[in-house]
Amino acid sequence: MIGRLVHKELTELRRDGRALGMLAILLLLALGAGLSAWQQARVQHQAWHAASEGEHARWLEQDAKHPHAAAHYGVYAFRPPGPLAAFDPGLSPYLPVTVWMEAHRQNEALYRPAQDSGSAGGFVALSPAVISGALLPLLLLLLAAPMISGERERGTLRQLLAQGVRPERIVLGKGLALGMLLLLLLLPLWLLVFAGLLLGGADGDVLLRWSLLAVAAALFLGGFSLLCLLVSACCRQSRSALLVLLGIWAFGTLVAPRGVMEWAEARHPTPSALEFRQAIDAGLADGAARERRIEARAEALLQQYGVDDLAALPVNFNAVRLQEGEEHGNRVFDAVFGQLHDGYLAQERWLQGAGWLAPFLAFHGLSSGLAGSDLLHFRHFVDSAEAHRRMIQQLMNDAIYQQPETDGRRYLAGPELWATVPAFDYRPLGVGDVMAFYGMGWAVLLAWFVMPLLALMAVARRLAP
Amino acid sequence: MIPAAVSVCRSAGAVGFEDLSAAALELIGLRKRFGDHEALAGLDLVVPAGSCYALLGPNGAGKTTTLNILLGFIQADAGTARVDGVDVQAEPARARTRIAYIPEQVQLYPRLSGFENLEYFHALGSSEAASAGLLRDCLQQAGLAEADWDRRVAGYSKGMRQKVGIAIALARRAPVMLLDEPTSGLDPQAAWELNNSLRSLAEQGVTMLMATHDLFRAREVASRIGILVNGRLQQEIDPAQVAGPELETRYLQEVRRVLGVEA
Repeated sequence: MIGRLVHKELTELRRDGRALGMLAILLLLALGAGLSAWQQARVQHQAWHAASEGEHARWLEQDAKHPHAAAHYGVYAFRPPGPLAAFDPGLSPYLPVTVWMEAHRQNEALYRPAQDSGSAGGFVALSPAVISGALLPLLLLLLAAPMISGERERGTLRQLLAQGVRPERIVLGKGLALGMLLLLLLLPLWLLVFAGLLLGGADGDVLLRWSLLAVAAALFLGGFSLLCLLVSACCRQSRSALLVLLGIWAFGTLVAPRGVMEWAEARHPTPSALEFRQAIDAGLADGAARERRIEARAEALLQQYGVDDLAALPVNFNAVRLQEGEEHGNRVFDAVFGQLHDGYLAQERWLQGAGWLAPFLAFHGLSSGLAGSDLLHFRHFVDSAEAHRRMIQQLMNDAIYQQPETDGRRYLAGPELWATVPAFDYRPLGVGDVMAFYGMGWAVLLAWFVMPLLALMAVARRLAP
Repeated sequence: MIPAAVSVCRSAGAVGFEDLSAAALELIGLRKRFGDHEALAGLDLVVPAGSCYALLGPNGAGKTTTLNILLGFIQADAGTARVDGVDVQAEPARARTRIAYIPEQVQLYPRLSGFENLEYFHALGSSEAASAGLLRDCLQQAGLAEADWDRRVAGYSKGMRQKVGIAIALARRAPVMLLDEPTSGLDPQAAWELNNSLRSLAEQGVTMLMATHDLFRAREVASRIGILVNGRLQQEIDPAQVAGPELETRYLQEVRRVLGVEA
């Protein structure tokens, strides 16, 4: 019987030119957006690859110079596009892509891709994630709003119930038909991308991310379908159901995200650019502790080598000064940058929690997280670049330490030292870390699926004609 | 003084115990109130198996409420309703398996053909699968022209939809059929064809309860007519014993008497 119900629903949809038209438009949009995003991600990836290689070559090919001059010569770290940024560019266009890594200072990341987009940047980018998170629910509500209310309005529900059909079965049939429709629409696209990733040599982490994205989309869209059926089952007219659902969609997709973001910013404020720089400058200027540590190191070295003058040491004490300066700066950067990024991530967690109010936010967060285009991945990139910078400084200072400068001669290093610095090979976060950070988002999506399901089951049992 | 509600069996039987074993529909002391309005005020009605009973009455008399209670769509405040011996209030789902229902406006799925509609309603409402041949027989018996079977219902007239409704009811093979204003909005030809179909069903032993305003069509097809006013059965008439004009006169007199309306 359920099969017959589903078959009838799908037959009606197939014969409804409007529904087919909407589905075709959405499919074309999804394909167009997917291809465009894939092409963009490919170009970005090529640019990242070329820039990273060029940058490392520039480092390796630098002239002979003092290692500290090399530390100031510096090197750029480039952020690669997220593993699935073609599906969901997320915050990528608005997050900087390069970090200038030099001595003494953790620089703020620079250059946002959105700066390149000119006036087009004012428009919402139609990514596959936006289509599945915002437009597909719109199509679903247009299809599902009249599914039960329309039967009631037409009188066919009365006839079905009079035939002795159990109301739960009617609702189950409608739900399965919607589910089948989604599956028919999305599964081929999902498989196409999966095959593309597999053929493109994507690793297990990326394939797992893509699979989890499918689970998140199934929970989100499934939950929304159930909500549509619930509203449809409760309304006497399909027009009322449509209005209620449009209201829910507009609130959850257009109104709530903006409001909740402002709420998150108010709840977890982050310092302004001026406050941020002032905090770093103040931290760096407070060098009393650093000087004490330098004095202690000097005394220890003088004692170790049995000399009473730093110039008589068999090592270069300037390297100690430089490294202590670095470590002092590192503590300041850890505190100030940490506070900034912790604030951003706290806002992100708050947004996930607010998914109870607007599940689009929970899906959006999870989607950009799994795509690797969120703040969590950005912070990981910034931290990785900073770790690389510190490693370069340590290597340079270690080289200086080994070369005491006597008789007015200054040590000049060459390619063999430059070659000890590996290229900045950024590896994105593992999927396990992403899952741990987005635990709340998963909980919200699960509840978003289960709650309308339970409510629909209760309403279905008492479905009145 | 005209007697208050009487049932077929009471009016037909002698003093003593009436035999309800052959009753397909029994309504005993049925009451239903919607706010201040009393839709049914203790309705007693028994329809013997294999007969066709027409319930006549003005708007708001309680005809549709009676059908809704029998279909289990609403609960009576008091009284008992049984369909083929099954208590509707206690076992509405089981009672529905014994009912075929033809509403005033047979509503079908416009993007499906007449045959597909029949197939769908039958598949959902019956535990036994019916062959395509049997379903075609039902459409034929209901009087729908074969050329229309595979056309989409969106292009059907009301009469054609009504015929599909009858075919759905026929395919159900239920012992009891409930009809709500079956001839409403039909042209004379379609109404005549519908009555033929109903007569054919009655001959096959199907029990029918028909709520209607249409005195003349009711007289043609029913074996008993009850006049329902203000939620109470006021009078029962054997249509074989009265001519059409007399039936109309008695109906109008009864309605005016109960409602206190001047002629």
